[in-house]
Amino acid sequence: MEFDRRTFLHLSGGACLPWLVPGVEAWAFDDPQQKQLKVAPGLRERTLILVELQGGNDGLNTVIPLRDERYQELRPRIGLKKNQIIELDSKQGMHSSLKPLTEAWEAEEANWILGLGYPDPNRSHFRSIEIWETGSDSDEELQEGWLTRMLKAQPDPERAAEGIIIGGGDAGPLYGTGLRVINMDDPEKFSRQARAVPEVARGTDARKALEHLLDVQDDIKKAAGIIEEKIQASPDHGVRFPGTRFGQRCKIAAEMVTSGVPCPVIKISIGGFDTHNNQLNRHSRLLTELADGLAALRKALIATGKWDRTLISTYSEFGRRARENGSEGTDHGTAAPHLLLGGNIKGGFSGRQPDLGKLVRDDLIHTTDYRRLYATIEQNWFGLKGRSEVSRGAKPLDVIRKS
Amino acid sequence: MSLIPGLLFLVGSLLTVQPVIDSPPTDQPATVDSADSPKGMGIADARHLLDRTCFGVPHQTLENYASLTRDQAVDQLISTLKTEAQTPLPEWTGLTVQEIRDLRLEDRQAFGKTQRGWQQEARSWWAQEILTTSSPLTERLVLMWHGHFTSEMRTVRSPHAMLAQNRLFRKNGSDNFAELLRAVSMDSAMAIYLNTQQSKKGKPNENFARELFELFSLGEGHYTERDVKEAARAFTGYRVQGSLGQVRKVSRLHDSSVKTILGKRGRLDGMDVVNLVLKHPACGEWIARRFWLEFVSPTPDQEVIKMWGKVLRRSDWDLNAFLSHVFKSDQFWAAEYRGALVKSPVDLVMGSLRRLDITEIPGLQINRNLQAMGQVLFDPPNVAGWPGGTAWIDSTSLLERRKFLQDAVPTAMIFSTWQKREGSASVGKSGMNPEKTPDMDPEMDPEMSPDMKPEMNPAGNRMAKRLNRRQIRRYRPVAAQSVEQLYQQFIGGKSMNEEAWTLSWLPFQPVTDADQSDTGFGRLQELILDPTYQLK
Repeated sequence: MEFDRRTFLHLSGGACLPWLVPGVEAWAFDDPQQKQLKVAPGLRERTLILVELQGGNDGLNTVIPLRDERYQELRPRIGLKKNQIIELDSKQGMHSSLKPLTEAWEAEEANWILGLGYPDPNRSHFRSIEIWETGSDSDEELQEGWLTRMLKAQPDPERAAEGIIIGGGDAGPLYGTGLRVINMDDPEKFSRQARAVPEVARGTDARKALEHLLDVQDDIKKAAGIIEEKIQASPDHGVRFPGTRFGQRCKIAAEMVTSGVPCPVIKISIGGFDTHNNQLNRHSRLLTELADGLAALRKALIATGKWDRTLISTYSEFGRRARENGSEGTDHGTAAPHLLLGGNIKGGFSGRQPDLGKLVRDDLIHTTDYRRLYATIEQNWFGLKGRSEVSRGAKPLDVIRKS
Repeated sequence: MSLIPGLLFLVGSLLTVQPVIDSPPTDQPATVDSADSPKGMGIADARHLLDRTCFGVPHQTLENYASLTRDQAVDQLISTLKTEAQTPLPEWTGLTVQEIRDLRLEDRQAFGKTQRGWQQEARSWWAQEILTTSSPLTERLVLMWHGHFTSEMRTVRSPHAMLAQNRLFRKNGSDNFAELLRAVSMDSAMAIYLNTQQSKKGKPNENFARELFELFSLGEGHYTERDVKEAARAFTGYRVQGSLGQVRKVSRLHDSSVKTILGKRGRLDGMDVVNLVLKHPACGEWIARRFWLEFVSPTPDQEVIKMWGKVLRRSDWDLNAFLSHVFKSDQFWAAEYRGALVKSPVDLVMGSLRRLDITEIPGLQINRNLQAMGQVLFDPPNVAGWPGGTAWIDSTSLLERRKFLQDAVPTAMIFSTWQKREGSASVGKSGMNPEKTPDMDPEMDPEMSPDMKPEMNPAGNRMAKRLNRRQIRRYRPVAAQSVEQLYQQFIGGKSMNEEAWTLSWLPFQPVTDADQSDTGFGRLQELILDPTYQLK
């Protein structure tokens, strides 16, 4: 087996040794020699696909309270009418543009987590996405993404990378050192370009800039080698993906998962949710693009038998102000619902809708700490029990059928 | 595509006698031979100085600098500083505010489209200025201040306001920091970007006040939340005026009540806050730190920065003198910091093109290349500017950077060669009017749409076309031959041996086998594709 340089660093670095991290014992090893090669099985077998809704998605027009007349009072001009809402249960409905997702909902493979947010919310795009992506408190600055903290204690040289970012954007929750994160638009182009990158024998040069550059080169070559090999033997899922930008990103995500590229996290994003004005049409178009892409992704994963091993989760920097603004839009707000999809998901709702009667300066008060979502992914999806790197005491939600 | 044809241009720049604008005056020793002379600092030091402070210089200039001592070179470099751009501004910058307003009222949607076109042209204009300026150090400083006193064109929208801010950085950016900070605080684009424009008595907006302290002048830990709140009140009522240059204080919107800011009490307004900031001891160090990160290394040396802060304040914020101090410091030249900085996309793209004396490249490629590598002129990612350093390099950007060096550079070299040999005769020395260039095949040029009006042509009509295949084929063998001659001349001549040639391109020895090729051009290709070429 090729011995990965970073794995070596982890082994020699002390602090990163898995058996020195207190509490990581659920899958602990008997033979210390073998430890670095044993990885929680969840991380080997399962994939998380994160979908970032950039700009702050309007949660209140995504999952709509049906029996609360205050909704229309807050939103006389942009409130959705009955025929624009798909009823999901007696109390809640979803935006009709999410119709392509009804199949997943009816198959009980979709779970809406309501009222996700954090205390003392920050309304800056920049700062709030940083809070979401690092998993910090509102007044705390962490230097690493929440997935970075979770994954760097779990090195696995067999992986193509710890994370693959498709279609641009930064590493987000995978930000920080110690992980191999690959950005790509198109796997074939990526492999072709990677072939031209030279092999460099590593010396003892301590220059940080050069070290980093050579690390990235190594990551590229390694990931490209694995991806190329897997994709050649990729099964045909037979699904046509939408031609939208997001649809094409979903297509590449599907290609990664169906061909079995070993990588625990894939991140894709869809932009444009910062709907300060004339929101109705724009938001509807965005949700259609989102739902069409995710529905195609689901079909492809079902066709190739990967759906049970995949968890799709949306996230966004914040929801939007409950009360509409003067230009038929909404300003930066706080809590919002997010969607989990997957063959191993318990369908339905988690948490509860924030009370429209109890607003703080026209903003919703969150009902579920967003780190419960992270705890769910860490402990129940990937099976990393023991001391949590990301939950901050928040309990996992009961949304995964089989941990 | 093979790289080989391109290097011809390099030959052209050396064999043909061309005026090199930023070469030392004639009373300086400035011959190729003197690179070895005991008096000169040599080619490796010259590369270090010019890669860090400029965006590359043509080979001949590099050799001229190599013949000077370090101090002479720094003085020479600083004497090139300018306060105005040389590239003519796009025509639409002449529109008055009223004319722009009328255009907007006429048809909002059409105006939006026009404005986006202008934004692209503003980017092309600046790219062209960086590429062809006789004072790359000036543009380096403009870009540094743009990343420090950030405004984003996608938020500000108005390219007029952004260009006015750009002019401000050029005018004040190398002169006096106090003046610069005052001007920035009253700048229109800044007022729009950080919401001073909406801030009024009774409803202060904290955005600018916070960033003024946190990012622009003091750094965290040197002010309180209360200072921010009070300073926000001091900055109420400033409004963008007709000229789109500076804002003006509107009394009825300004909160003139008593405030306490940074320990001082009174009926303070925005300018008072700026003056208080300038008196604060942390300000000098914060700015010194910015220069350290830009010119020395990613890890600040607190002791030196403290000293530099004092130098700045004692000189009454004289940036010209401070630049000289920084560039002549031991730290700037220290061996341990050579190659410690990662070239930004602008460094890599402009530095490579300028080094090869390429002043035009086909179409709007420059900005497309920059964007693919993660740096869009006039659009830093957020108010904190480009993070820089190792953040420039991830798997996508690294592959884009390599692609540029492998494909775009040789393409540009062929084009440049063609233009110098044939194009210039009919086009005029600067190629200002490529529309009339003969021997062009419009069918071959997807960049050029037939309905494009000349006045919409970015960057002073400098948009170049592409060569057709026939022309490329024709230039290929000529180029290869010339490159070989050039390389042999370098290696065989007494002025430069193999190692000097390498160190005129790289900050230290290559990490790949960069001496495998047996042609001069092949060797150049190996050098620029070596990972160390990404560093400075």
